[in-house]
Amino acid sequence: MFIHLKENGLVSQNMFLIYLILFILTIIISKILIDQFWLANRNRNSSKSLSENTYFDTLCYECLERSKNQMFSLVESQNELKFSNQSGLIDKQVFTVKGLINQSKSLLNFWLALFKYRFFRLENFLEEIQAKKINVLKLYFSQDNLQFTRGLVLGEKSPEASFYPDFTNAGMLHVLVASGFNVALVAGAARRLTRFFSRKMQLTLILAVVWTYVILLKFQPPLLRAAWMFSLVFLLKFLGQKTQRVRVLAWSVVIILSFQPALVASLSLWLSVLATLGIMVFSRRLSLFWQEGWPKNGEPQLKRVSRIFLEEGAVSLSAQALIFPLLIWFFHSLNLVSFLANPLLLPWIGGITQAAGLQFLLAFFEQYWPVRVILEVTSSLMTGVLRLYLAAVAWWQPWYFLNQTVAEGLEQRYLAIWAGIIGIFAILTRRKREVKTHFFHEKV
Amino acid sequence: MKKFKKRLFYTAAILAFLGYFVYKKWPDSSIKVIFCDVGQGDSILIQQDFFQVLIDSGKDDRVLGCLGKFLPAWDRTIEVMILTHGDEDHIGFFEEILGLYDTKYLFFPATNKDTATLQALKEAILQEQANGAALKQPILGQSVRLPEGGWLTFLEKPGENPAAQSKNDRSIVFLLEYGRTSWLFTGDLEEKGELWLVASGLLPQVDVLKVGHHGSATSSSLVFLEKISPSLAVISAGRKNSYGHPAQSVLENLAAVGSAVLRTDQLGDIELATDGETIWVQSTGLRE
Repeated sequence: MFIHLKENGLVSQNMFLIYLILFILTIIISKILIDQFWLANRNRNSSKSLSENTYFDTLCYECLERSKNQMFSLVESQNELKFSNQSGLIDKQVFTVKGLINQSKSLLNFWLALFKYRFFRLENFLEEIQAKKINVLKLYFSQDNLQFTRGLVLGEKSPEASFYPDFTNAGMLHVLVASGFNVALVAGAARRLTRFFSRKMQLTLILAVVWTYVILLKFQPPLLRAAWMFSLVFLLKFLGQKTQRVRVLAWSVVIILSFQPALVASLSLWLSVLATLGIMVFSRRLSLFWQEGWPKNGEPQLKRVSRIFLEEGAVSLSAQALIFPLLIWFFHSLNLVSFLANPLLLPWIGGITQAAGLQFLLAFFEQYWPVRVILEVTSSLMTGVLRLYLAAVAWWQPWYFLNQTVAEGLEQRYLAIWAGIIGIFAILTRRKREVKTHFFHEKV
Repeated sequence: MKKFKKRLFYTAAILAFLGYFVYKKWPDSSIKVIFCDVGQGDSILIQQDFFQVLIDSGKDDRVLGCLGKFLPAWDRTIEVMILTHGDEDHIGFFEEILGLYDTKYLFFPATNKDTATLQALKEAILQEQANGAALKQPILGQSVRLPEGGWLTFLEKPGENPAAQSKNDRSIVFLLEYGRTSWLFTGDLEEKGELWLVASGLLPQVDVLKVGHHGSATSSSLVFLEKISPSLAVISAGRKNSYGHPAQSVLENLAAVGSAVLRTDQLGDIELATDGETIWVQSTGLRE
């Protein structure tokens, strides 16, 4: 196992992050270097015609053969121009080697293209099914409600929906994006459904379900991040290894970037990673402020409810702690309403997403009439709940004046204030650093 | 025993709950005609018992909200589907509807149009035919009998060369008769087609008219309206549509013959019901 994780202090976590950054840089630099010094491209000018012929855009066996023949005939024709037999032979050898390399590259490209084509076909097939099932749900849900549930379950943004501006202003747009939370729900549901199987089978099924969900949603970066984290944690736990959440997060990023280095510029990936990191680092520390005074056992009902909202508030605040600089820098927005709206409205999202997910699942079995009746009843109930929830989000409208736009040039000032607050918080909680380890903020 | 009683209670409660929803959507022998609000387009659902006729689909998925609202959830067969003509705002979503609902009879007039939507629709119809549906060309006098009484009769121009007519005048026109009530559905029929119908002597006086071509000035001529003198006229048009439908001249013509006007752009879905004697507006409402 190339990942060996063990419990270390904060210092090793920092070191690990430095290693991570170095690793990402290494990937990018190696990619550039490989492109530059790939053997077949070393004499690019002289063999340009050869390399050009080795790349295929179409899936065609005959093209491959034709191109190969053409390649070798070029080698022959170039050798005919040589006067010295010895240098001609050397050149021929060089060209033969190049030809073989190009041939293998062509084959690799061919199989890659074939794989991409098959994957594209599968994607198309899945999209068709998804469109069909969404048409089924349109029979049961109003346009707004369906767009909302699609945002919750499939992470599909609908900027044309009437509720969209309210979610933006209330700082709750993240609810409409598929995130680690969705992966956690899917994995949790899969775990519950597969609890009768053996451990090995259960693990395989959970991972299969999680990755099917990620493929269905076209590898959205936040989902990839969460899916890799889950996969790593499940695998490590299965192998009896210790897991440490920050490291798992770091390795997930490394793996994602190894496959798709271009995602290094994806804002949604970094927002997701930083939000998760923020929750890991700050949420437990924040909750220590009230946990000490409130023993869990025997607390009154009111306190228990307050604890739920306070914990959600802590998670929301922690998530925003590290993404704050990105929001200031890229979006120039300071959304204060989100600090108020999220703690109150987020706790309900888990249940609503699960219910909406169930509706999507039922849509796959709607050819049976009892399922249609159940869909009819549950969608009627859901409609009432969704209407209430959307009204609750819209309720914050009078508070939108609290949201401010950060003027150009003032970003540094805001960032300095942010750094100050984080610093003070770190000092205040320095003795409360050792807190219970938990893997994710997503609660299943 | 206590546990058993508890379970029994919960099962009964759930069944009662399900029963209530089933009862709410259980149809009766009266005829219900629903003019779906599909924006700038047409889609009409005629329902009696578990027998349904769908006329056109509108151009987008808005028709699904209407079908979901008015059809019993467990019924996935629309017995008769009528595609009045090949315009996008009438058949744009039919392919998807055929993917969701089964049908027994499909009425589709000959068309020389060749659009991507029509091609896809033809494929979907072929698929439906393979599943046992019959594709029919409407002919004059051909009728569909509704299970609890009522006739739907096609008023097609006999022997007319389709190429010689405008595409709107090739719309399927039909008459619904139930008890003492009669309803006329004209698709996108324009003045020329209306005058032919008047001259043919096929038109009776009707109670309800589905106004042709979304209330365009090219339809609903005064001669035609005077001949049928509808008590109620329903216009299916989109809110703030760019065509300016319904035209002022059409509204004036309807007022001149004393016809009350209901518009989907103002009222949303319009559900009319009749027991063969009286016609009443069962419900209207904009969908969310």
